[in-house]
Amino acid sequence: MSAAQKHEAVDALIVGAGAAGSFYARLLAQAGKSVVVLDAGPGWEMADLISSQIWSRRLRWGGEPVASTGTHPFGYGFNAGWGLGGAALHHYGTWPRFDESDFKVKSLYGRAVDWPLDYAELRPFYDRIQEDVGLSGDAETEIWRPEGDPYPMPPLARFGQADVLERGFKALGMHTAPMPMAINSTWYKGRAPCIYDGWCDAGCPIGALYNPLVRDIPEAKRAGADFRSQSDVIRVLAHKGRATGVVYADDSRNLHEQRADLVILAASAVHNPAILLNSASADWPLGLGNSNGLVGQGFMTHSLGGIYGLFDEETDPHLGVSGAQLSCRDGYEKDSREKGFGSYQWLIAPAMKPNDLAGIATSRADLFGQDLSYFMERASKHMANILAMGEDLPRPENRITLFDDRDRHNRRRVRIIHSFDEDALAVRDHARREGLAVMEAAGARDYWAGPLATAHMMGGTPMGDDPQRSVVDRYGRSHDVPNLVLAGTGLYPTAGAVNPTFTLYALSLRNGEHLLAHWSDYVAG
Amino acid sequence: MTYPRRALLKATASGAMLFAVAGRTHLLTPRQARAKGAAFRLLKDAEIRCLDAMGEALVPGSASAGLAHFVDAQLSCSFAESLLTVRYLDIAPPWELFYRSALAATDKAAQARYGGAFHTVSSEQATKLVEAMANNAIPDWAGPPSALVLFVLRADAVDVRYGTMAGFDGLDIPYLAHLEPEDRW
Repeated sequence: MSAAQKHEAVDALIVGAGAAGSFYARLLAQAGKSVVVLDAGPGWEMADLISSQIWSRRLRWGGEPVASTGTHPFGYGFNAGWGLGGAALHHYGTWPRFDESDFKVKSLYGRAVDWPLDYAELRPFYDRIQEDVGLSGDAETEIWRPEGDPYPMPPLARFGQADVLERGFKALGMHTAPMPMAINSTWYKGRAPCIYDGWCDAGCPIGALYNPLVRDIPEAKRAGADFRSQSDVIRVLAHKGRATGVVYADDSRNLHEQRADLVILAASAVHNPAILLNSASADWPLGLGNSNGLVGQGFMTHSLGGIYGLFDEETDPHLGVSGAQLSCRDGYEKDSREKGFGSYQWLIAPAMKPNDLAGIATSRADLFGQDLSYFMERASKHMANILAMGEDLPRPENRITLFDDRDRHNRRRVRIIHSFDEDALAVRDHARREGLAVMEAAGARDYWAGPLATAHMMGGTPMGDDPQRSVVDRYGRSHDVPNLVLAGTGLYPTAGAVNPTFTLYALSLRNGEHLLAHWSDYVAG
Repeated sequence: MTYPRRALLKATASGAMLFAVAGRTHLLTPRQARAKGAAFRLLKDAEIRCLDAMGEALVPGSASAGLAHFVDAQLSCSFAESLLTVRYLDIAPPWELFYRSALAATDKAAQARYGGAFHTVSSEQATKLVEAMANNAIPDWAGPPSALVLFVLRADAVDVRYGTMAGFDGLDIPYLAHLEPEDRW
């Protein structure tokens, strides 16, 4: 192996150009810091976001294969991102806030752990991000919403699916509200409104749906940040208890060494722990920043169960947005059921295209031949769907770990181990029964439930005040390595049952501003 | 012939891929590649026949939409470039072996039950075999789990049959592209 090419040291080195990494890059570069961002994937541009479910697969992980194992394996191939923008490039812009109870699961219910901050502390950052990015919704209708500023834009338009499904929820005495979305319903800060074509999963090239290519990456570049795509980080370098930089490989497998005063890992809840574990050394035999052995433990996802129905009226399932038109959080109270601890929410009326994992054909994977042809003709105009998203509490056995065998860069291969516990499965069963009842009440002529799936990745490097029970402090700073910061959903001590991206941005703003305010403390040698 | 990367990406997104016809390379959709008799890169004749027959059994119209050329072209791509649904299923690449063993096992099962390769069996026999595969109920099945094979091949067939502009047209629903593919597959 040839010697690594050495690059001039910078103030901050960020690994991963997804939502968190791109956000930190803009924040730090605009504050005058010299910033390098390394991402293993390609350098996507907005013009690459072609409207096609088939095309959208190239926005998913394309690096060294990750093994997903366990009784309920996490769907890494579908959930992960690849290239500039990361998973946020194909995320659906579904941006509810975490509930106040999500921050206090231990103190309220005696389960799992509390976050080292509460909702009140994070609320101003939610409000600032919401005004900055632009959210569409109706705060008053969301009876479950914790305190916060009203949304800066009215709700997105709704289509036939939402109308028939809302009928079912109301018939059962349940509440619905427009789902808060990081998608413009009107012109907002120079960005165009949504045209409701339902291609969010393939990325939104007009920027109506917020993603890192819309603002963070271009503004960070204008402020001087150097984004290097096809740059695959092999390990974090450390000396005398401090991070000194990273070694990475370019797409020709040439090695590079980039030094920095501060290293920020923002490479996802799977690859942040993987990089730390692969950075083991004589000083850090369990992995960098892993003196307590907790790195990788407590990986979480959300359970996802689809309920589908066919209606007499036309529902236009291809229209709208991939996330949801409406929401329902009547089932969010974690201990409200006799069996099954944990929250769940309903995502109501996501747009459906004919193909792909979340598409119309897959909803009846048992059909083939002429039966499938007839179904496709009918369902493409008359189908409606709701998705139950359920909580997954952190457990040490659900974790990111490494195999003994090695990849082409001599890193140990990454393995995800995940199984839902009895609580998560009971919550899912409850939601499944409720969802089928909603379809019946809505007047569906035929209705059925889909298989259990997974959505989102969280945990594995949780925040906490106790260095023996967490990996990073309340601002994402490693307990062990003072100039090493972790960012993204891996910091979540618990996962709630709502989409995690809004909270990721709010947390990144809070933690990033703390970093800038205490910069000299972080980087002091 | 060379193509600029971005133009190639966009053309590929629309369904066009590089295929060799009579010794020359062209950007074609899988349907066009099939119509022009473009050369296959990886799949053998028996595998092509089995894949087309299975496609038709699962998703009528998928063979003429270029299923075999689509799968063949995507198996020839790198992992990061591939458009196959198998990419989502956390099955370790390369996937050539998955497809080869799946198609070989399908033909072997048809041979054992009905005395001929899968493409030679009647539609009723194909239906019974598919039902058995869906239940992982074929004795001596010698490939990846048969229900998984069905899921993957069905998804590929749905992609070429329904996941294109032509497929949307066939269902009489508007495609409504932000960035419209240059070709209609």
